[in-house]
Amino acid sequence: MFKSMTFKQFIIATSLIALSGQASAIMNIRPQPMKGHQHNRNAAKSFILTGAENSQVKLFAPDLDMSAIALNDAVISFKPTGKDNYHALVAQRQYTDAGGRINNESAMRYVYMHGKPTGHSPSDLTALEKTRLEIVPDPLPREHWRYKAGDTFHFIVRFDGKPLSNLRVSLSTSNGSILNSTTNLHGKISFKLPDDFPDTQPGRSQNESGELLLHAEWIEHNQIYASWLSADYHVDPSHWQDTNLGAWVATGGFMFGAFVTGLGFRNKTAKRKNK
Amino acid sequence: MSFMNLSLIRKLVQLGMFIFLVYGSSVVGFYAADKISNALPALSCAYDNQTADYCTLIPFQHQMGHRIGRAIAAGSDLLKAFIPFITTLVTFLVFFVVLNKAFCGWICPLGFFQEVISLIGQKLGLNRTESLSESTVNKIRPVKWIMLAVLIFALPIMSGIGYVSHDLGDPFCKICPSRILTTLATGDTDQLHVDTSTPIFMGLSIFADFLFGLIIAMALTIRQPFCRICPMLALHAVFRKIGLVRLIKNATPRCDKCGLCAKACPMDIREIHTDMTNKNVLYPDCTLCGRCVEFCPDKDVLQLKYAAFPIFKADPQYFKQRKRAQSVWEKTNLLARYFPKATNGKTSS
Repeated sequence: MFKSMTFKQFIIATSLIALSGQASAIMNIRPQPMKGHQHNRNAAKSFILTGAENSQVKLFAPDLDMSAIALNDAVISFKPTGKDNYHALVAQRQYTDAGGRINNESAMRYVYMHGKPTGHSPSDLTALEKTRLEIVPDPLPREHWRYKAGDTFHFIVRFDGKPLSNLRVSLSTSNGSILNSTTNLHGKISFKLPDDFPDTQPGRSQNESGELLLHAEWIEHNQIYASWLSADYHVDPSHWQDTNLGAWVATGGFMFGAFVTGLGFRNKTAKRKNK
Repeated sequence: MSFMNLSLIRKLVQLGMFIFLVYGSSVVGFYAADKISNALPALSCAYDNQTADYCTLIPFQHQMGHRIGRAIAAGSDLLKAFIPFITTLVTFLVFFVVLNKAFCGWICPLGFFQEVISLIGQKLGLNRTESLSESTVNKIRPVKWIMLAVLIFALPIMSGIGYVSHDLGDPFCKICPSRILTTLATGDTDQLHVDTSTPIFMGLSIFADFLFGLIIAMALTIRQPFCRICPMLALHAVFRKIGLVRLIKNATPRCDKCGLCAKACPMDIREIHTDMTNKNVLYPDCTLCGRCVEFCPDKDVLQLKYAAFPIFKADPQYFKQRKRAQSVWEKTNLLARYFPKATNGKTSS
C-alpha cells in the first residue's frame, strides 16, 4: 500500500522546501521503493530516512508499546508487530550547528499494519506525546481511508503536549506543490490537499500515490526544534466519479419510480377497473 | 384520546437511533476501533464519516473476498480464514439475540428514512398502496435471499478466488441506498456519483443511484420498498428463532374473519392473519414493528414477548383508540386541506 514517489519527485519536493527557507535540512521518512505490488501483510516494512545522521528510531504500537528500531544506512526496516491499526514511526536526532545552537529534529510517519486488534483507538496514539515538537493529524484518516487530493485535512501542532498557536507550518508534495499556513489559537491548522497529480488515470488502483510532507519549527530556550510529518496521498477520485451525473441518474430513478407507482393515482385507476 | 401509542414511541426511537447512528462518531469516536461493534444488524454505513457503528454486511463481504476467497485460491488453511468471519458473526448474534428483527423496525436508518418518505407522501395526500397483492409479494420475497446469497457471499468469494473482477469485492455496499442516504445526511455528496473508471464500477454506481431515486419515489406510496429486498432482512430471517423478542399469536375463530393485522403490516405478511396453528408468527419478512399487535382488536391474541415476558399485547380498548388516531392522522394532509374536492369531500381535521 505504501507506494513511493520517484527519486526525481522526492528531489523536487525537498529542494522546494529548502528554497522556501523553512529549514536548512530535511528529515523525512518515506517508504522504500518496492518492485511490484506488496500484498503480503506479514512482509517486513522498509522506509528510508532522510537526514538520518545520528538519528534514533522508535516504533510506537497501537497499544502505545514502544520499541527501538535499528537504522541501517538510512534504511528503517522492521517486521510487523502483529497488532492491528496505526503505528507511529518516529526518528529523532540532536546536534549543535555552526552557530552553537542545539537543534532537535524529528520526523514522524503513521504506518498502518494488520494484525490482532489491541482494543486501543488511534486517538490514543495521536494523543501520546512522542516528541517535544509534534505535528499531529487531527484526525488520522480513518482505518482504510486515505489522504486524498481535493479534500481538507486538519492537524494540530504541539510542543510538550500543548498546542502552539500562530505558528507557520508548510506542506509540500512530491508533485511540486507548497502550501503555507499558520496555526490558530488552538494550534490547529487545515490544508486542502492540492490536486497536483500530473497524469491521472481513471480508477484508484491505476494511480501511484504521492508523498506529502509537513514541517514546523519552534525555538525554546535558545534551542531549535524542527518536526516533519510525512504521509502518502492519493488522486482525487472526482476525476472519474461524477456527482452531477449521479444526481441525474437518481432523478431518473425517481421519475421511473413515480411512473411505475403513478405516485398515488394508480389506486384510482385500479378502483375504476374493479368497478 | 391518548396521544401516545406504540407507533409513535417507535418513531421516536427510530429518530433517536438515526441521529445516533448517522452522526454518533462525536459520541463514540472517529476510528473504526472506536465503533460500538463493527457488526451492527442494521444498515449503518461505514462510508458515513460520522457514523457510530458499521453494518455487519461490510465485514462479511470483505471476509468472504479477502480471507475465504483468497484462502480457497491459495489452497491455504480454510479454517483459519473463517475465524474473522466467525468472530463477526458471533458479534452480530450477540446484538441480534437481544433485539431480534427489531433492528429492522426500530434501529435501521434506511428503514426509518423510508417511513419518513412514506409519511411525506401521506401528508402530501398521495394515494398510497396500503397493501401489495399476494402475487406481487410472493414474487418479491425471494429477492432478499438472492441479494444475500449473491451480493454478500457468492460474488465476494468469487472475487477473492479470482473468478470475477476485484471490483465485485463488496458489491452490496456499492449499490446500498444507505451508503448514499447516510453520507448525504452528513452533507457529503461524494457517494452519489457515477464511477467511470471501469465498466463494473460504472454499472454498479448507475444502478445504486437509480435505485436510490427509485426507492424515494416508491416509498411515497408503497410501504418499505427496499426493506422487502434487503439482504439484512434475509440474514435476520436465518437467525430469527434465537432472538429474545418474539411475535406470538393465540389464534381464535374470529381471526379467520378479521385480517386487520395483515392489513396493518407494512411488509404485507398475510400469514399473520391466515396462520391458525403456529404460536410463533415471526415470519422471515417481519421487522417487529408491532403494528399488527396494535391493530388486533381481540384481547391478547397477538403479543410481543421478550423471552417469556409479554411486553405489548393486543387490547380492544387500545385498538379503538389507535384506530381513531390513525383515522384522524390519515385525514390530515395538504390535499385534503387545500383541495377538498380532490379527496371526495373529506376535510382536513
